[in-house]
Amino acid sequence: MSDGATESYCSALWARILVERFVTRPAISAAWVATALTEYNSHFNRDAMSWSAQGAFDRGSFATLLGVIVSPAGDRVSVLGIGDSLAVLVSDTGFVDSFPYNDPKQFESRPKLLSTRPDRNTALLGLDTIRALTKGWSLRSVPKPRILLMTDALGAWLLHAPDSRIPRLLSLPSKAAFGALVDSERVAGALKRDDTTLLILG
Amino acid sequence: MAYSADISRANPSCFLFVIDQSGSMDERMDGGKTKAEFVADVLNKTLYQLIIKSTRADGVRNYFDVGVLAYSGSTAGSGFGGALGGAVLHPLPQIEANVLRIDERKKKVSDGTGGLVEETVRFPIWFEAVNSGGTPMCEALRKAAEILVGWCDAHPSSYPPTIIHVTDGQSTDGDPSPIAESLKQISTNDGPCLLFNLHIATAEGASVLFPTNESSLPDEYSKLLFRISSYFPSNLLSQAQSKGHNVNTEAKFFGYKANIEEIIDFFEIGTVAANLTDR
Repeated sequence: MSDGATESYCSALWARILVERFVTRPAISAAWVATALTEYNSHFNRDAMSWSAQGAFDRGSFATLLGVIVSPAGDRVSVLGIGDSLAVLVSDTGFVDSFPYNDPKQFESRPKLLSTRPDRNTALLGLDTIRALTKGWSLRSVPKPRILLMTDALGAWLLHAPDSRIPRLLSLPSKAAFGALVDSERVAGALKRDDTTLLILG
Repeated sequence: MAYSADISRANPSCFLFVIDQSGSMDERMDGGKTKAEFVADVLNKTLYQLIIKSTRADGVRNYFDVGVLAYSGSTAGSGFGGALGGAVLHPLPQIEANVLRIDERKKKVSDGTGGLVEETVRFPIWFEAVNSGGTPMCEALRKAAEILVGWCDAHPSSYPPTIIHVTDGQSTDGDPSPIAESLKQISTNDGPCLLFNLHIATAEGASVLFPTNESSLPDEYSKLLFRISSYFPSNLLSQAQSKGHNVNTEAKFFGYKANIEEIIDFFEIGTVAANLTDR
């Protein structure tokens, strides 16, 4: 899952490239991002752009990247979490763990996103920092494990009250029901108005 | 809660820059530029940033109507020239399409492998530095009010207009307090207009930025500007704090005897468009 940032030149394209590349080659490194960036840049001709398009292109595109790699035996997952899209591990009794955030207050800070500007990725992809982008979960001792992937507005909403909100998400019978839940929670002021996406694995 | 409306193409917001072009703006600041030249540079850069923040691969999006009201002598009028000179407020795509000229400047950027490469960056100019005559501040704020009543009527659901007023001196056409207070009553459903006042100076003396009270202000004039300034809206706090300013919603969006760095911060924080959500 990749959630493009609002103030981006072409976040939809950047997010699409990131998820397609991750599915093809689930990994993260400076070299991996560099090849994604080469693909992104191949879609544009900066020299042919107007001054405003050049300025916006130079400013960059930004996106989260949330990926799940399942072991061949299916008993372990590795979660890559860059930015504020959230993965939540649940069992038949509820919340087990979440990554990369576990406190709703963390959503109030500006997240570190993958950028089409190489200088903006240096701190994120350094040798010391890159390890912190991934977390492993053993599923062996988790009864009926499921993994929920969601964009930041929904992540903050869930972490505010996981015990009551996880069952509401897991019991949704359809996309339409999800849409109705999102609408009612926005009207109630509990869910920030933003692109809202949910994947339930398992 | 006020100032919580999303800014989008369906519900754009508005920035109105009210700029003092009186004779005293020709005094030189540190670095050699006159106050007028420096403010013109910062304003052109602010317009540039608003445009590129609003530009996507499919073009410039109209997230903001933007205008410049320049005042000097005894009058206030559009600070834009050329095709933009007829009206004060313009949709952002119109501003992008009608520059006065484009300067070419060199910029060093990272090549992603630890090195630097030089790139040519085009820098558009809309607003030229001019200065003469007195400081008809009341006339300028009256015109601002006239323009913004119409804008708010036409955009009832929008995030309300932000007025950034830059001056280096006292009003020469009366006490601006009553008209400033009226200006701050003009509102959309999301709240009243925001009036941010910035005083700039070349004279020695401590600057004051985003104060919570008048006690550090040296005279009645600075206190007047403080009183007519809006409080810091909560959606701009994190931007100010990230620049090292210790502010909360009891602070006023006001600067007195602002130096070069403070002028830049004032413009950057004031135009951060924190509620932009449209993709």
